[in-house]
Amino acid sequence: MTHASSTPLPRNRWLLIGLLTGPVVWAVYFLVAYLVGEFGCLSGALQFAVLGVPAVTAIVTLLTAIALIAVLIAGWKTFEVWQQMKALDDTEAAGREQARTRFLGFGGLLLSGLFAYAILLNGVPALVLRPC
Amino acid sequence: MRHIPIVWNVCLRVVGAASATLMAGCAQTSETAPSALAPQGPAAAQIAGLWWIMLGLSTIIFLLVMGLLAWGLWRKRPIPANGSMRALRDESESALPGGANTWIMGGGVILPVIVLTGLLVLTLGAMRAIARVSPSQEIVIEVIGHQWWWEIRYPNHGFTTANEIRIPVGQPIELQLTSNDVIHSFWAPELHGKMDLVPGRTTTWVVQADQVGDYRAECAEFCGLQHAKMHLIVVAEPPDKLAEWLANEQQEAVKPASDAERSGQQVFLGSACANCHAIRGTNASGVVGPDLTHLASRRTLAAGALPNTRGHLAGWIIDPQNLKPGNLMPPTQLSGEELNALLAYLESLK
Amino acid sequence: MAATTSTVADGAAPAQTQAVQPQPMTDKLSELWADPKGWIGQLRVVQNDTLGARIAVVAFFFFVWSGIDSLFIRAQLVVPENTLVGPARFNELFTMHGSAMMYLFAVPILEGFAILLLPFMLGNRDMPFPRLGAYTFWTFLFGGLLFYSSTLFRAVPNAGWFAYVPLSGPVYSPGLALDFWLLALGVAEVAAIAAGIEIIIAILRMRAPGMTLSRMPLFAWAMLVTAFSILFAFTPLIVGSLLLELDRKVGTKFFDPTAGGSPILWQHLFWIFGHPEVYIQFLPAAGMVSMILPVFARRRIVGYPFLAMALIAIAFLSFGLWVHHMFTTDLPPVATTFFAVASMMIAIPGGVQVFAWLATLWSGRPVFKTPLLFVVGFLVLFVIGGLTGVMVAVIPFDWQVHDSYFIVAHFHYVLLGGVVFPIFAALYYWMPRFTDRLLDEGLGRWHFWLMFIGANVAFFPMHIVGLLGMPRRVYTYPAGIGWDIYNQLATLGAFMMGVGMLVFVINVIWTLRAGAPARANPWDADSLEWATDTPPPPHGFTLLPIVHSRHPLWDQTDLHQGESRVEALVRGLARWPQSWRAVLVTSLVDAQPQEVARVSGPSIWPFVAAVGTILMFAAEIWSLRFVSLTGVLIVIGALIGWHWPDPVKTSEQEAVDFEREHAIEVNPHGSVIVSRGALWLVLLVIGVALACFLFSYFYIRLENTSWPPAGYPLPDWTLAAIGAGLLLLSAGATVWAMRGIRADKAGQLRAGLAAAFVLGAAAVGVQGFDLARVGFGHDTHAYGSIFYMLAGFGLIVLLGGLLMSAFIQLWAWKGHYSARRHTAAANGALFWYGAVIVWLLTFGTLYLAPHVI
Repeated sequence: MTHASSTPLPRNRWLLIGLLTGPVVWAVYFLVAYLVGEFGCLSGALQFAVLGVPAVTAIVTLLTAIALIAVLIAGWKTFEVWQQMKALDDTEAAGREQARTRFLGFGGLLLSGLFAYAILLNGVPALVLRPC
Repeated sequence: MRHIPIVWNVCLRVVGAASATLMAGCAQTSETAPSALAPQGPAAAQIAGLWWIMLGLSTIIFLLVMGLLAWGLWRKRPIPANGSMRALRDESESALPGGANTWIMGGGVILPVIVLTGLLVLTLGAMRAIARVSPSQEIVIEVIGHQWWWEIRYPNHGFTTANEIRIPVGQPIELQLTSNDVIHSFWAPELHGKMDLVPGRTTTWVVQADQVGDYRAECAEFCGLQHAKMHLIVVAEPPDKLAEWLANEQQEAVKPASDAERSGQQVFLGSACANCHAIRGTNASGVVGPDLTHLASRRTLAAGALPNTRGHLAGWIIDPQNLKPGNLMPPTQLSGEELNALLAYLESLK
Repeated sequence: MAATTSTVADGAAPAQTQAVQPQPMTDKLSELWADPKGWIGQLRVVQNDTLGARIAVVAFFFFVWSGIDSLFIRAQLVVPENTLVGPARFNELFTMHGSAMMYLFAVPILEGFAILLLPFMLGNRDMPFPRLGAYTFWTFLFGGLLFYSSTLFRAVPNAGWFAYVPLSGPVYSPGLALDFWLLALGVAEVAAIAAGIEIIIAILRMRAPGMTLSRMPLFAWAMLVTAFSILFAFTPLIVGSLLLELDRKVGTKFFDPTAGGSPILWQHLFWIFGHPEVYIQFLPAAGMVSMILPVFARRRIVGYPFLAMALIAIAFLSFGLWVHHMFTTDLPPVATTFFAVASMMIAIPGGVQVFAWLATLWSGRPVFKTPLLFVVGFLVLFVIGGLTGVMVAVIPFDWQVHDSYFIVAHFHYVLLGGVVFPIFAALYYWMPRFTDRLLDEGLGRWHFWLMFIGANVAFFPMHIVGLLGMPRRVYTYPAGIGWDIYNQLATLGAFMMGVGMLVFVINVIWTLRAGAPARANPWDADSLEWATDTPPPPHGFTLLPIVHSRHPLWDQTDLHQGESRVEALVRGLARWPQSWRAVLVTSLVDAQPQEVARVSGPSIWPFVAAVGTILMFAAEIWSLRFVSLTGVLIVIGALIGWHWPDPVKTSEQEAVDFEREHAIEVNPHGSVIVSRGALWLVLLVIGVALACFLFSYFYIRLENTSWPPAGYPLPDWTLAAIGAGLLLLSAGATVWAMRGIRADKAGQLRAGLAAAFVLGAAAVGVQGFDLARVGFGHDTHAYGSIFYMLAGFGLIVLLGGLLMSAFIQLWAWKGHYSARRHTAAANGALFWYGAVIVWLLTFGTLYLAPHVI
C-alpha cells in the first residue's frame, strides 16, 4: 500500500459537490442579487430604507454574506481533502483513486477561492453606489 | 531559425501598439473627429482618464506576456543527444523556473486580482463622480428618436425643433430620451458615453460641455436602413446667447415678408408638406416629420445628412429618396417657380 | 539548432496498438461499423467520424461564404460616402456575416470537431446517439441552406445578428426577411442542442476504462463545459425567437411597448444566450490549444488541474455577463455592476490559461510547425482581445465604446484570434489523422502570416476609429472627419486575410491530391485519437485502450494492460458482439466499466425527421400552416420509425454468458445509463425553458403598473386548482406504479400507470376548458400573450408526458417490464414528475401570483 494516510477517501459524490459548490452558489447568488437589484428598483417594491440603509443594499449585502460563508465552507472542506492527498508525492503512482481525489479536491479549492473572490467583489458596489 | 519571424513580429506588434497610441493621442488635436479621447465635458473627461489608465496597464501586461512568450520560444534549450523523448519530457517538468504554480498563481491569479480590484475601485469612483452631478432645473431637453432623425423638445420653453440641441456652456443639462419607433442611442463622444432611446421608456442622461462649440453626435444603436445618417449636433453656447436663441425659438414662425415668401408659404400649405411638418403660426401642424418653425436657423438638413444651404434644401425637397434612400419623405413635384418661392419662404424661417 | 528543427517523432516510441489486434476481428468490426453504401446509404450514415467531418466541412463552407460577405462590407467602407453596395444591401451583408459566423460556422464546426474526435480521444467506438448525430447534421445543413435561400426570395435578413425589437418586429420589419432569420436559425439551434446532449453523455459516460476525470484530455473537458453551456444558452435563444416569431406571425405583444410588452425583454433573452455564445466558441478553441500546444512544445501541459478548473469557471462566469451588452439601457447601477464584476472576473481563469500555456512553451522545446504558429498567433491576438475585454467591462468606458468600432475590434480579436486561429491550428493538426496526408508546411506558413498580419492590419485600427467616434453598422461615413485612413487599413487587412484563406483552400486541395503521406502519429502526440490505424477504421478501436495516464501515448508502453478483469473485458469486446454496434459505458468519475450497450445503426429516419423539421419551420415563414402541420406529422412518424425496436441477431443467452464472464451488464436494446442521462438533460432543457418563460412573465409584469392590466379580471383559480390537484394525484399513482414494478408486480404497474394517465388526461382537459373560458385574447395585451404562452408551454410538456405514458402502457400490457428491466417505464415516470412540477410552477405563476403581486 502506498497510502500515506489510512483515512478513507471521500466519496465521489462529495468530491463533486465540493467541486461545484463554489460556482453554483455564485450563480444562484448572482441571479438572486441581480433580480433584487433590478426588480426591486424598477418595481419600487424595495425603494425604502431600513435604519437608514436602502433595502436593496441591505438585502444584497446579506445575500453576499450568506453566499460567501457557504463557499468558504466548501473551500475549507476541499482544502482538507487536498491536504490529505498532498502527502502523496506522486499521486499517479499512488493509485487512480488517490489521483482523482487529489485532482477533484484541488479543483474544488481553486473554484471555491475564485468564486469567493467573485462574490466578495460583487458585494462591494452595493455598499458604494446608490442602489437605484 | 524558423522561430525568428515570430519574435520579429512580436516586435512589430509592440511598435504598432505604440504608434497607434501616438495616433490616438494626435487625434485629440483633430478638429472634426468626435473623439472620445478629446473630452469636452466632465463625464467624457472621467472616461478618457479611465481609458489612459487602462491603456497603460494593458500595455504593460501585454508587453510582459509577449516578452515571456518571445523569450520562451526563442531561448535555446538543446536536446541532449542521447535522451529519449520521454526523458526529455520528464526533464522539462523540472526545467520551469519557479515551478508551475508560481507562473500560474503569479501571472494568472495574483496579477489579475490586483489589477481587477484596482480597476473596480476606479470604475466605482468614476460612476459615483458622474452620478453626483445634479442637472440644471431650468433647461430640460426631451430627445425623441425617429427613423432617422431626432425630435428635440424644450418642455420648459414650450417649443420643438429637430436634429440640433443647444445647451448653455458649463452647465449639466438633463436629456430625457425616448423613442417614437425603434431603439436608437444618443452618443456625443466628446461630452459623454451613450444612452439608448427605448420606446415606452424614458431614460435620462446628463451632458455638459465645458467649451463653446459644436459637438457631433450620432445614433449608435442600429435602427434600420439609414442608421448611418442619423446625426445630431450639440451646440454649447454662452448663457446669454442661448437665452436669445431660446427666446427666438419660442416665437411663432416669422410672417412672410416678401411676395416670394408669401407665395412660398402658399406652396407649403397647399402641398403635401403640411401633412407631415409643423410650422407654428400657420395651419401646418403635421407631426410625422421635423418641426420647421425655425428651419433656417439650423445647421443641417435631414439629420446631418446635408448642410443647410439653398441648393441642398432644393435637392432635398425635390428628391429626398436619392439623397437618403428609404427615409419617409416623399418627393415633391414643383415647378421651378414654386420651388423658388418655397425656398425663399423656408429660408426666411429664422 | 538542428535538433530544434527536427521532426517531432524521432526518438519516440509511441505505444503500438495495432500489433496486438488480430486482423480478422478488425475486419469484422469494420464491416459492422462501416457506413452504408450507395446514394441512399449516404442519407443513412450515422457514424461519428463521417458525420463530424460532414458538419465541419459544411460549417467551413459557411465560413468562407460569410467571409466573402465581409469583404463586400470592407469594400463599401474603403472610402467615405461610397455607393458600392448601398444601405439596404450593406445592412443585409453585416447581418448575414454576423449571423452565419455565429450560428452556422463557429458553433457547428466546433461541435463537428467534437463529434469527429471525441470517441477517438476518449477511447470508445462511437457517440452515444449516432442517429441524433445524423439528425444534427441534416438539420444544421437544411437550416443553413434555408437561411441563405433568403437571397433567392429577396428577403435577406437585415436587422443585425442580435435582431433588436422593435426594429425586428412586425411593424418595422414587415416582409419575410426576419422570419428567415428566426426560423432558419431556429433549425440550426435545435441541431446545436441535440449535439450538446450527445456530447455531454459521450464525455461523462463513454470514456475508455481508467480515464478518470483527472486524466481526461483537456479538449474533452472543454467540450463538456461547452455542451452544458449550449443547453443553458441556446434554450433562452429559442424561447426568445419563439416569442418574437409569435409577435410577427400571430399578433402577440411580448415585445410591443404600446401594448404592455417590453423591447428590453428581448435583449435579456438574447444576451443570456449571446454572451455565453462567445465562450461556447472560445472554450473548445482553448481546449484545442491545450491539446496542440504541449505536443509541439514536446512537454506535458503545465497546470492541468488549473486549466480544467479555468474551463469550468469561465463557463459559469460567462452566464453572469449578459447585461454588459445592456449597460446603455439605463438599468439600475447596482444591478449593472454585478455584470461588470463578473466580466472582470473572467480575466482570472483567462489569465490562468494564458500563463499555463506560456509555462508549457517556456519549459518545452518548441517545434515550429504550422499548428504551433497558429497557436502562437492565437496567444498574441487573444491577449489583446482579452485586455480590451476587461476594458469594456468598465461600465463608464463601455458607455463610450459600446456599439462603436472599438467593440468591433475587440470581438474580432477574441473571435478571430481566439476561435478561428485555434480552428486553423486544429485543421493542420488533426487533418492528417483522417486524410492520411500532411498539409503543406510552406503554404501553411503563407496562410498563417497573411492571416496574422491581415488580422492586425484590419482590426487594430478599428480600436482607434471607434474611440474617434465611429459607430458600428453604418453603411457609410462622412468625409473629412478623420476616419478614412483607419477604414482603409481595415479593408487592406481584410483582403489580406481573404488571400490567406485562398492559400489555405489551395493547400487543402493540393494536399488531398498530392500531399505528403502522414505516418500513424506524425506529431508524436499523446492522446488516444492517434492510437488507431491511419486512416482510422470505422469503429476506431478493435481493442479498447486502458488508460493509466493523462498522456497515454507518452507514458504507457502498452495500451491494453490493466486490471485483469478490464483486460479480459476489452478483449472480449473485440470478439463479441459481432452483429450489433457495442460501446462501453463507464462510470462518471473513475471510468470503471459499467455496461456494454448497443448504439443504433444506420437509418434513414434521422434524415426524414430533419426533412420534416425543415418543412415545419420553412412553411412557417410563409405562414403555410398545413404544410407546417405536415412537417410535424413527418417528424412524429420519423421519430416512431427511428425508435422502432430493431431485434438483435445475438441470442439472449450470449448476452447472459458475456455478462457472467465479465461481470458487466449487457444491454443489446440500448444503454440504461445513457438513456437515463439523456432524460435528465432533456428535463434540464425543459427547466431552462420554463425559467425563461417565468422570467419573461415577471419582466413583462414589471413593465406594467397594474397586473393584470386594466380591463382584465384577476384570474379565477378554482378550476385550475382542481386540475393541479388531479395532477398531484396522477404523480402519486405513478409513484405507486413504480413501486409495484420494483417489487416485480406487473399488475400494479399497469393499474398505476393507467390511473396516472386518466388523472393526467383529466387534468389537461380541465385546464383546457378553463383556458377556453378565460375570455381575453392573446393579441391585445402582453398579459394575454404571456398567459397563453406559459399555459401552452406547460400543457405541451404535460401532453409530451402523456404521449410517453401511452407508449409505456402499450409495452407494459405486452409484458415488457420486469423488476430488473424497466428503464423506459422509469424514464417515463421521471419525465412525468418533471412535467407535473413544470405545471405546478406554471399554475402558481398564472393563477396565484397576480393575486399577490
